[in-house]
Amino acid sequence: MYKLEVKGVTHIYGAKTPFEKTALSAVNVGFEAGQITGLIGHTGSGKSTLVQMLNGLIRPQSGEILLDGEDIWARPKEIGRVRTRVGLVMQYPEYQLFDETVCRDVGFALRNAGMDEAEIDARVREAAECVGLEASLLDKSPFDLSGGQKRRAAIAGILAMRPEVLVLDEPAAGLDPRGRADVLGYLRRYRERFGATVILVSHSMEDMAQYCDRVVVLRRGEVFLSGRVDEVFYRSEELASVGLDIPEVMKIALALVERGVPLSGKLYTVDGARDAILELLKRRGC
Amino acid sequence: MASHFIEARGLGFSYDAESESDAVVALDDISLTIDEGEYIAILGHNGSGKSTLAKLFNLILTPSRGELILDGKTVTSEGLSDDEIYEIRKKIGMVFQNPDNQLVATVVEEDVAFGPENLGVPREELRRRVDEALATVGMTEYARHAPHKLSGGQKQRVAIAGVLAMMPRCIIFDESTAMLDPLGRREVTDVMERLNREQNMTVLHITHYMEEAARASRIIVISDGKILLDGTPKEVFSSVEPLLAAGLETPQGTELIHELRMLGFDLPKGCTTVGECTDAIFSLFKEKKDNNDV
Amino acid sequence: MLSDITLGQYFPGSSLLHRLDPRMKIILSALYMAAIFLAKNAFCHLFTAIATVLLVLLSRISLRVVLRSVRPILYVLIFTMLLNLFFTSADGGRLLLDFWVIRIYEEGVYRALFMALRVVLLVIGVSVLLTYTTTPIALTDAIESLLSPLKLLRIPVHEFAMMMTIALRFIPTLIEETEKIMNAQKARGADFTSGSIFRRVRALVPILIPLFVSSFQRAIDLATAMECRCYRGGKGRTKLVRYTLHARDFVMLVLFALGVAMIVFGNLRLPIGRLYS
Repeated sequence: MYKLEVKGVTHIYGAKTPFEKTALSAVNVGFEAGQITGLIGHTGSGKSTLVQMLNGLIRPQSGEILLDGEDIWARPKEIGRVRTRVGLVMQYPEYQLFDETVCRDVGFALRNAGMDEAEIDARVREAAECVGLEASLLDKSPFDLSGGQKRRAAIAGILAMRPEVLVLDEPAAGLDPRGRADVLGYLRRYRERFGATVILVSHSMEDMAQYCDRVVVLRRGEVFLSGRVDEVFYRSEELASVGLDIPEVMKIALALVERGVPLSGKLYTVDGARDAILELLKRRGC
Repeated sequence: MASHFIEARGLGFSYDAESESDAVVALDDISLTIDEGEYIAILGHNGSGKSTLAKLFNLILTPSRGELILDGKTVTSEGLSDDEIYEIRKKIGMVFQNPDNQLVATVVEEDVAFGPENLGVPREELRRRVDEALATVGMTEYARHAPHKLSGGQKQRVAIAGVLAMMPRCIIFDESTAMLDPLGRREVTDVMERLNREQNMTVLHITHYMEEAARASRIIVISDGKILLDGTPKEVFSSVEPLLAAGLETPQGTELIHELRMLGFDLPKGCTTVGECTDAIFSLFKEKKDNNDV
Repeated sequence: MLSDITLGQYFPGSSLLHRLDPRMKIILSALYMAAIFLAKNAFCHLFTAIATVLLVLLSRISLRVVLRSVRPILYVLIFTMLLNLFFTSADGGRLLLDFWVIRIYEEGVYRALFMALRVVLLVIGVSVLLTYTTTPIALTDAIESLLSPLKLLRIPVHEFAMMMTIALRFIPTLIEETEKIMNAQKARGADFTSGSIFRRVRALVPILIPLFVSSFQRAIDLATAMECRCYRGGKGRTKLVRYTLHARDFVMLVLFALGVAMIVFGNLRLPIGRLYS
């Protein structure tokens, strides 16, 4: 059974008006427990609608969203509980910071859930640690943090709920290479520590290759490709047809394969390609 | 003596420069020259000072130390008069990061007209400039649209048209691609490249995307307020260690070859493209084969 | 979906009213309002009503849409009617109804009816002349142009118009942003729809603060961007769009002026059905 499943979901904006736009049509996707699934697709692919459905911000017009096999809209009044179990980090989440101190802001969701202050404090510290925010920053105003710190504080605000499913809409957008690696690294560690299911929306095929177990490609409101990273990445022609490029290192590796060098393995990451080359050289050298 | 379009001599900038103790040095002792018609990428991590440099070139900021010569006009910490700044900004235009925060009007063509309107360009000429600028960025069919309905890449192209209509000689792109999706980024970098090639426009592209910088003819890497590297993409990208230390990345192929070199394999430096890297790594296997044959 | 504020209530079209110069439309609206308020007797009211129907026909906007413009003021309308009905004093002609404390006189009924007619005509006429057939940005330009003589009195007409333009440009952006922030806070368990009024107002804080912070950032960014595009206020600026008056504008002006003259004449010379002094 999937941890979170999208079943036959269709959603049309402005139905029966001249502005009618189909955001999703009959989408079926399953997200497996404990895995990081990458969600990729261009603007207008229905990606952001889907993301907001996963935690009940948008109610699908038809079809259902199943969390542990249960329809999240079975009891609409309890959708608030679903939102704490499925944490959503929106794009540029630093815009949501508002409270007097980082500490209070990170604890906002917990206070809304009526948790007592001692426990909130412990959870906030844990969440801050998860994203590498030093404890000394917790008493500062969130508006005094640097760009990268604000981003991490905003993510901590969601992690503090200890969501079973974590959905992130381009958590590394606008960050420089080191910032990207930091944020994505923290997410990977959160998954390992709490066994969470992670859904990562990204435009970067390199990040997908590096951090995801599975990939779902959306196109014009439909699932275009889905599967394990290696399965999807080896279908480079189909990817190219929707304007997605395989990582450069994989191009090099595939060019070598074409020239008769039988490389195999995780050729879509630099480390994977290096190991494959070493392995083959060792075998040939012996 | 041949004069340069932009020249910096020992240029420095500090935020909160009024109080010595709080001053934060953003740029320190920058010396460089930029000639007309160059296409330069300025690469650096967040907070490296690369945006500060751009803001100095457009006189949004005034240098704290050293001097800056913009098309023959010397700027020091004294700053310039409003009229002088106005003259410089006619020549050096700027496109900013957030596509939403730089469009003024509710109709695309009226926004493009905003700059030349400020310059007092007569109406017939205005019309011509607006139409030409929109055609250059491929947005003619959106002339009567409302900006907020466009995609990020389209908004940035409108912003570029707005600068082009002022007929500058140089455009600075201050992280103009940072908030765009890959499609939008490609649209904007395509326009940059074309402006440089077809109109000999001097283009300064501030970015932290290595693959965008690779399209320029020269890359200047800024780290901690200083120039770390300055050269062709090939020269810059083959300096793998300094780049990584500055929180940046190199093309994946260059990184792969660097890692293999570190393991003791004899591979050439300076491979950046897919083809070059493939050839270099292929030679490893060929040698082995030859050895085996012997 | 969001209603598009840059278009306001504008209905795209190419009718005569759509094509009129926006400056002329403002002048015509002023004449129209004058006519409505000058009308004093049944003849004049009938005349303004017919003129309004003609305007609606000219705009080619469906009657249903036009009547919708009256809906928001329905309660105000009923309230003023009742006020006129019950509080017209004893010298108001024949007593029609005398029940407990309620006394309704003949003139009260007339006053209520014609007051309602006036308000309805006013709303319909101005909607059709201005808001339904003119974009807010054209209106802003027209106001700037009409008020430009005031610049001589050092009244900052250009700055005012620029502020209007920027507001129109950014309202949709801010609405979008508000939605985004609301969703982000909902994802953190914020609840905006239940609890006492006090609780609901407090629940707005997590939306308003981020909205203010980002609006200030936008304002700073925009000001910098405008300066970089050599903006130095209205002095020495030229404009891409310039409105020119056509024959149709003058024809309409003459017709409207004649209409007002007709009303003045009607009030004086045709005392038929004079309702109140």
